[in-house]
Formats: sequence, structure tokens, C-alpha cells
Amino acid sequence: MKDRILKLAFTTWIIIWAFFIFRELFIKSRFSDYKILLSRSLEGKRSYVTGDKFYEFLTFCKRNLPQSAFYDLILIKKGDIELDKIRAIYYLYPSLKKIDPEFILIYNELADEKIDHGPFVGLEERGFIGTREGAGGKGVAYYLNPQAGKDGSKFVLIYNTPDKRKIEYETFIKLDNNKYILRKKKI
Amino acid sequence: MEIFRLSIYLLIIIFIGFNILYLLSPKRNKLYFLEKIAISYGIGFGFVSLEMLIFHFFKLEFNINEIILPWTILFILSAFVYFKNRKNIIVHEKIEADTKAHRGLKIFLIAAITFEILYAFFRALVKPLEAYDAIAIYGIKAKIFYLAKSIPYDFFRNLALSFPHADYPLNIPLSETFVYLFLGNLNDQLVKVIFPLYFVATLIILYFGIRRFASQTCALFFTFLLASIPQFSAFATNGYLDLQLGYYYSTSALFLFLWFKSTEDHQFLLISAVMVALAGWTKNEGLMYCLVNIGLISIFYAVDREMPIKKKLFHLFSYISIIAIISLPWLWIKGSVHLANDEVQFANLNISYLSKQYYKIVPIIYEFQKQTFGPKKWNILWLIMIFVLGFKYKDMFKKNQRYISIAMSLTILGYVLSYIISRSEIHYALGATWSRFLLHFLPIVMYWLANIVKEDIEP
Repeated sequence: MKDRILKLAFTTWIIIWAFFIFRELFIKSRFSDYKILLSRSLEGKRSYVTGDKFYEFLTFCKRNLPQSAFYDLILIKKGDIELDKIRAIYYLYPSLKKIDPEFILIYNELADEKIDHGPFVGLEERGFIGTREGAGGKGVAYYLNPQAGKDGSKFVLIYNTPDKRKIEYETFIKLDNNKYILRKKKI
Repeated sequence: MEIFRLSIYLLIIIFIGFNILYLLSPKRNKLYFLEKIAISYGIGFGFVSLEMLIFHFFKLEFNINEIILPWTILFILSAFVYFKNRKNIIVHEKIEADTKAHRGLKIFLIAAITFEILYAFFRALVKPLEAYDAIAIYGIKAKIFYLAKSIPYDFFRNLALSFPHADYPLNIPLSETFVYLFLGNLNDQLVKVIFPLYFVATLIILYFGIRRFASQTCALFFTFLLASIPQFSAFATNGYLDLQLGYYYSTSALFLFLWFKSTEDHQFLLISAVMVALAGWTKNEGLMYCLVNIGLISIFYAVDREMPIKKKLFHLFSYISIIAIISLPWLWIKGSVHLANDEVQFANLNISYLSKQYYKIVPIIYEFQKQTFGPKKWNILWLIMIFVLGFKYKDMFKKNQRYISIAMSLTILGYVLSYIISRSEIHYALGATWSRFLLHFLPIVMYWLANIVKEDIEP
């Protein structure tokens, strides 16, 4: 009896073990991920795990931002935005993400889509408005001038902090119309 | 070339750990060779990273030669002690040769364990660091230290606060930095070799832990069960530190249980103290395990009436002192710059707060059952455990097993308490952490099960 229970438990264990390895490799497509990863260089692997388009943007920012710059990041994209932000912070170091920065990095993957989801909600006539945790929990609101996505002329950042400062930014450099860096306008 | 450098680096780390382990008890050699290597690996990393933290106190820059140089004194010292004591060393009893029964099963288990190990290395090394905590908490710190070639002087007051969990210990981030220094570049793919090696080390320690009282088949069986748990093998590859904490704590607990069996083997007690202190240097939860082990020794003393009180106090004092010495540099930094955990608030440990938290019990129980019945992460481990305990519950309180039972009960109580005093939303906290917390004592669960069912599965 004891032997039979033991054999049954062990057989069940092996079946589940084999099933989950199979599931990970073939049903969750890890096998094809591995095939792609094995064919890439280290930089290519970083790009693959981050998402090629987003990594291209981060590389563009890294190349163009001055050494140890202060930046903030606006991501309008699908997927796990928190993870993408943290990856951006990791790759862009020694530049640092902070509130009231010199540069604002705009990555808008959904420019051609109707924005009705994600943390940056509400496509209004004038552009995107999004809030972000931070600033002592009060949140920071961004307002994108609709022209910014087209000719990059102007970007206004409105802090929803008690003093409600308005800081103007202008285009610093563009990767394309939806991916660009803004720099604080010199007064 | 990078692989060659990495191999040299790993050999140096293990050699440093090996010397420290040797000096803990030069006159007694009750460990098996592979077991020594597995322990040396964790000790080597722990002490080198502690040394790098101490560099910070003296505002020293990281440089490979300067990091390795102080350890040469240790090599000379251990060589001197070895040649002085080599004729008087007490060695371990040889493991009894195994019967030839279950040959096919043993071959299968060895093949399956080998597969899991190779697969863990593959999964770890096929891509660079990319998981959330791996880069947000640990990888970024390693990058900062590498680029600055030091822990920047104002790091804890300033820069650390820009990233999540500034209060997390730096054992693994500094170990990653040391890998980068050795490689000469920020290769965040090769650096991940650290993680599956902890996986292998844990398997080796569990194997020999069980082999001390059971057959090779039994030891291989439980080593395979541990290696094949999806959650355990996944965390050998992703750059999180829960498996590393599991390695340090499980080794400390296992050697503490061995010391309970033979209290004249001080080597076991010393290894336990060092490893649990390094658990505290790996993750904050490690400090809870320091308390669990100290509590366990106190309970052991209360039960064991044969040992003279002076000896008891000496052992307990030594144990606490080792933990204090190893933990002090990091606790000093945390205290001096007021680095506090932003989730678990010890100020909440009061009756009025606790009395309002009873609503958390239901989601805690719900999450526990969710993990128990979900095969995706744990296969049928927890079901087997419930089954075994249901039928053999008396064995939980037998002489050797009762301390393991107490240790696990204290651990689970500790985690439940941490959820209760945590200010994080309870469903989120449970979903994000409980399946990881289980990894911290998973090898001990296997050791416990092996103790209880060894007679049932022996050939």
C-alpha cells in the first residue's frame, strides 16, 4: 500500500514536472525566444528582452543626453509600463530620473491608436494628459501640446503640486515624430 | 576570454570561502568535499562583499588587487594552521556505501538533477538581467558601484533613495560589482552565473544533509524534488535574491540541526552562525532568521538539561557575537542614515494597531491555500506535505524533527506577522511576496520531509 502511494505520488510529480517544462518551452514560446536570443549579441539580447523599438529609443537617448543628465520619462505604450520605466532607469544611468528635470523623454508608441487605456489616460483634444505617482503622493500631471508630436514645437509640463508651476520645454532631438527628447527652455 | 576571467573569479571566491571555512574549525573536518565547496561559495561571496562595504568606511576605491590582497593573510594563516594541525584532525565518518538496489531510479534521478542544473544555467545565461527587482533593486546598485569604482560616499544619503528599497542589503549587488570588475565591463549577462551556482550549492548541501542519515536513493530523491520545483528553478535564473536567502538560511538551519545532534561538533554551530548572519546580509528577511535560530538554540537549551549552563551561555554568546560582528557594518550604515523599510513598520507592533488588522487573516489563508493547490509553481509538494503530516504527524515531534518543526512554525509566524504589520495593501503584498517567501525555507521543508519519510522510501 505504502509503495503504491509512493509510486503514484512520484509518477504524478514526474508528469507535472514534464508538462510544465513542455508548457514553458513550447506553449509559452520560450523555445522560439531562446532561438532568437542565441543568435544575438549581448546588445541584441538587451534589445530583445526590452523590446527592440523601446531599446532603440533608449539607445538614442543614451547617445544624445549629456553625461549624468536629469530627465523624466513619459511612456505611452502597451505592456508593463512600470517594468519599462525601471528598465529605462537602469539603462540610462548615470543619467537620473527626477521631477523637474532638464530633459523629458517622450516615447509614444500609441500615437496612431486611440488612447483609451493605460496609465496615461484621456486623449483630449489638446493632447495627452497623464498623471504619475510621485511628488509626495500628490501626483504630477503632464500636458502635451498637440504640436509637440508633429513639429515638436512646444511642451508644457504642469506640476499639480501646490505651486502649480508651468515649465516650458522645447524639442532637443527627435528619433521620429513620436519618440523624442525635450529640453527645458532657457528663459 | 571573459569565460576564463569568470572562472578565475569563481575559483578565487571559492578559495577565499574555503579558507574561512577551514579556519572556523581547523581541528575538525566533518564536512564532505563537495559540501565544503558549496558552503565556501556562499561564504566567499558574503565576505568579499562585506569587505567591499568596509572599503566604503575608508573611502577606498574598488580595485581587484586591493580587494583580493587582504585575503592573502588568511591564506598564509590557514596554511600555517594546517601544517601545525594536520596530524590531529578529526575527520568525519565515511558515508555508508549504498546498496545496489534502485540502480535504474538512481540513474534517472541523477540525469534529471543534471538536466535541471544545465537548464538553470542555460535560462540564466541566455539573456541579460531584465526582471523587475533584478534591475530595479540589485542590478542598478551594482552598475552604480562599478561605474563609480566604489560605493559613492553620499550613496546612502542621496543616490540610493532614487531607487526602490534603499534599505536592502548589498551582498549580491556588491558580488555583481566584483564580477564586473573582474570582467572589466558591465556584462549583465555573464554576471548571472552567480545565481544558478547558488542553486547548485543548495542542492549539494541538501544532498549531503540528507545523506548523513539516509541512503543515496533517498538523498537523490529529495534533491531531485527540490531541483524540479518550477518556482525554485525559475528563481535560480532571474536575478532575484530569494533563492540566495534560501541557500544561506537553509545551510544555517541544517547545520544547527546537526549541532543539536552532536553538540561537541562546534564546527556545525559556527557554520550555522556565519551562514545565518550572511542571510541577514543578503535580504532583510535574513534578520528574522537570525532571531529564529537564536530562539531555536534557546528552546534546545531549555529541553537539554545535560549541558552545563556555562557552556550553554558560551555557545549562545558566540552565536550571537558572530551574527553581530557580520551584521554590524551594514546595520551601522542603515542606522546612521536612517534607512528604513518602507513596507514593514515595526512601530506597528502594538496592540491597538494589531487589533485592527484581523481582516488580513482571510486573504492570508486564501493565499496560502492558493499556493498549496497550485501545481504551476510547486508541483504537488504542499499536497504531499499535508498528506505526510496527516499520516505521520507524531513524527513531527520526534527528537530530531521537532526543532525543524519549531523552526518552520516560527518562520511562518514571522511572515504572517510581517504581513499584519505591513502597510502595503494585503492582497498586493501577498500576491507579490508569499510565493517567494516560501523559497526561503523550501530546502528545509525537503530536509524535514526526508527526515519523516526516510524509513518509508529506503530500499
